[in-house]
Amino acid sequence: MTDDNRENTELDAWFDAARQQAPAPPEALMRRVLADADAVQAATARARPGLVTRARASLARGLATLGGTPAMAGLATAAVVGMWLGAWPPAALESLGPQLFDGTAAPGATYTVDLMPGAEFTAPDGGGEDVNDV
Amino acid sequence: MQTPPDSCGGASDEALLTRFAAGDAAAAQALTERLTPRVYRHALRLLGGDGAEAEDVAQDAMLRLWRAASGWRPGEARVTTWLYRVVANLCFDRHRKARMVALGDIDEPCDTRAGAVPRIVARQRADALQAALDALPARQRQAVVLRHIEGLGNPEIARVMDISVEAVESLTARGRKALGVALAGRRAELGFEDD
Repeated sequence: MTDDNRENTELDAWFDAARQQAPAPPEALMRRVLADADAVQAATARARPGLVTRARASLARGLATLGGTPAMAGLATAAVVGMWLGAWPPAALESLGPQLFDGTAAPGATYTVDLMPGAEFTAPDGGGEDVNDV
Repeated sequence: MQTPPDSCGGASDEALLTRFAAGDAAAAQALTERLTPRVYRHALRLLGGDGAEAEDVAQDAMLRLWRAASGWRPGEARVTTWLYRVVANLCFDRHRKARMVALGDIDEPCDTRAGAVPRIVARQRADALQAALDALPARQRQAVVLRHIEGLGNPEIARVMDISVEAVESLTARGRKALGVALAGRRAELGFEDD
């Protein structure tokens, strides 16, 4: 065995001895550390409701900026109507969409929406003129 | 590095810390049992065996861990790496070497169990090593303790000490050489001639 190898082996034996002599922490220290942990957890738990309150206050300020509850009710109604029209569009809108995009709509008709297809207005004088012909 | 069994089995330190932050008392217990002995022993070795100082450092380091739990970012650093760094900083901040006493000065109960002699020899060797470690420059001592007693790899030691792996290798090599010289005269006295 070379001198270096022997020195390394001996040093490892010293380190082994140190690892075997690992002193246990005193019980009082373990109790203090655990008490600190409890205290930090309790403080964190107390701080949580405050966080929720601050979040609610921030949300309320945002709502007020947008106009308060009436404005939000209007926005909600518009959103629901929009979704309704998207999911169940009236027949006139359904037929208009493809015409607009494939170019088959007659000139001037692209902006006309027949809200009551099939219905016919008759002039009081009996002219029998279709309002759509105007 | 050996981790003693605890009430949370194989859960990682990081997972336990997340549970601790959520208010889990069992996680607090498990982390205390798992990490406090390691932190205490490391402080003891860096402080030259001063038990009272090591207790203060260990409690302070663990308190900092509890406070850091809620902001802990998983995957960024290992809990043990972070703790070793905190312990070292706390130890280096305490320039009160006058109060230090050697490990061998701490009273130990008389060991009368079978196999007591090998244990006494091991203790004497550990004390001699601690005395030699105390004579090393602080950074060399930290690197040697982390590498050869705590069993950390060089990359992790580099993260703890905030230096390069090459610098860790240099520190541990110089530390080992100095320890070898310091302990050479005690080989026969501590039974190495018989090994």
